[in-house]
Amino acid sequence: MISAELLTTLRTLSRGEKLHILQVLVSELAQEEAQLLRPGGIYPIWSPYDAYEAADTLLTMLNAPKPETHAQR
Amino acid sequence: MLNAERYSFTSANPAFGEAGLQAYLPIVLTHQDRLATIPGLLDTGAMVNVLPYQVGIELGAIWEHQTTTLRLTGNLAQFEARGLLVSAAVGQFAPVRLAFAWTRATNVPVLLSHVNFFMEFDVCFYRSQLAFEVRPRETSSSARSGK
Repeated sequence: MISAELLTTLRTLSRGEKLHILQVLVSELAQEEAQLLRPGGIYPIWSPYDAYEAADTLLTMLNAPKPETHAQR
Repeated sequence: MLNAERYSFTSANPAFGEAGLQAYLPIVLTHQDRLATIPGLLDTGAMVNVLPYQVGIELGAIWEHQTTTLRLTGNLAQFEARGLLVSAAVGQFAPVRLAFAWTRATNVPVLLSHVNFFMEFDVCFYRSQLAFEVRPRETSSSARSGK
């Protein structure tokens, strides 16, 4: 969280100092973004995102009458 | 309307810091007399709930007895999958029936998805707060009783 104290301090800086801080922060943010996905890395995506047929089959299973779970003895 | 239960995002991969945080929901699955408590990944991009092979075995399900075959997509397309109905409990809410695509794959998390987890539970994500809330869907009876 950005504190009011920090903002007050930043506002007292010269134009050059503000630009320098801006460059540092932009550079660090860019590095963090680049680290999210590593070049050559393998990231499996398990989501069956367009499995409409499977979804329809499962709904049919859910809506089918429940089988008797206890056979009469 | 039932009060929502709030959960925190959890780290699936500490190496990635905040990027490795995902919405895993603790869920208790019951099949016949066996139960398994396991984190399920809330996956809005998936069409069906997915159950990894070993969790189905833990629940006492027998592969050969599940006769409904399913065809999955993406990385799971290479594995056989069969339909499996289980009872599922989230937090203090009443158990519901969930239909899973029980896959032969083992290195996949439990996926909770549109059919039919999101048909049973309403979920609200607050990613900026690293939290999400879950509540059972509103039925006509719960709406009438105000619960």
